[in-house]
Amino acid sequence: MVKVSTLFYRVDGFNEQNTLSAIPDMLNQDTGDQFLESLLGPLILDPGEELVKTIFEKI
Amino acid sequence: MKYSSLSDQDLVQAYIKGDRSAIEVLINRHRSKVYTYIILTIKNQQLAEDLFQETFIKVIQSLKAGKYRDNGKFLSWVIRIAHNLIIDHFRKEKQMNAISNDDSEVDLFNSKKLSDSNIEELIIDNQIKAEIRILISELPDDQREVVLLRHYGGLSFKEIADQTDVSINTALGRMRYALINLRKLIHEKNLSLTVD
Repeated sequence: MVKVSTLFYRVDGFNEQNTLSAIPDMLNQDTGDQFLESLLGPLILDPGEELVKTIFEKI
Repeated sequence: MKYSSLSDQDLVQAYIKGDRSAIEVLINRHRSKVYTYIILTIKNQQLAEDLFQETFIKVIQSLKAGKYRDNGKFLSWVIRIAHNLIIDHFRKEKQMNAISNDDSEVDLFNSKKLSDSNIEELIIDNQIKAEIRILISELPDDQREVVLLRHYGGLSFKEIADQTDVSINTALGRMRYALINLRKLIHEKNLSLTVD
């Protein structure tokens, strides 16, 4: 017979909120950079040449 | 002189020696990454354009004053200047929390580069960009900051830690949670984020 208290025993240091261990590949820096590149690569917004020209007018 | 084949370092040196065209090439080479970094950070098009100009004016002034130490990372240096100007702006205005997502409907996609694309491709392209932008905007501020500095500025985690005044472990931790959160958001929203 298992005591009810045993079922709820919590190991010291264990944190169920910590999801890092569930996604070990995300700990790799290169993998992270590749993921960001694939995600953010298309997101480049061009301010246009006119905005650059105004910089030189202000100097 | 064929500027397009010159490295950033070569262009910086050429400008310091008096070649004005060199700085124009440099700015045009990096203008999109710097602008994208700024607008994803502050979410306000008019303010982004102002800060974009301020950033490169400061870049030019710093180069003229001999304040640039060439370590081969010109873009990272420019992004750090932009980051500092953004921080300065919010400190002055004290409205960090007043900037809301209400400004996110501005026309961010008025790109001349896309003007030759057909309408359908343009719409798909804009949809993808809008979805990515929503993902980024849903990250906590500190995580978004690390992601943008890393991706658009190419900063090392040591540089990010110095720039954001935290330890390297904190910067790395923020990146880890940002990546986890982004993956989770992509899954929850069932996004593919690619053009078929």
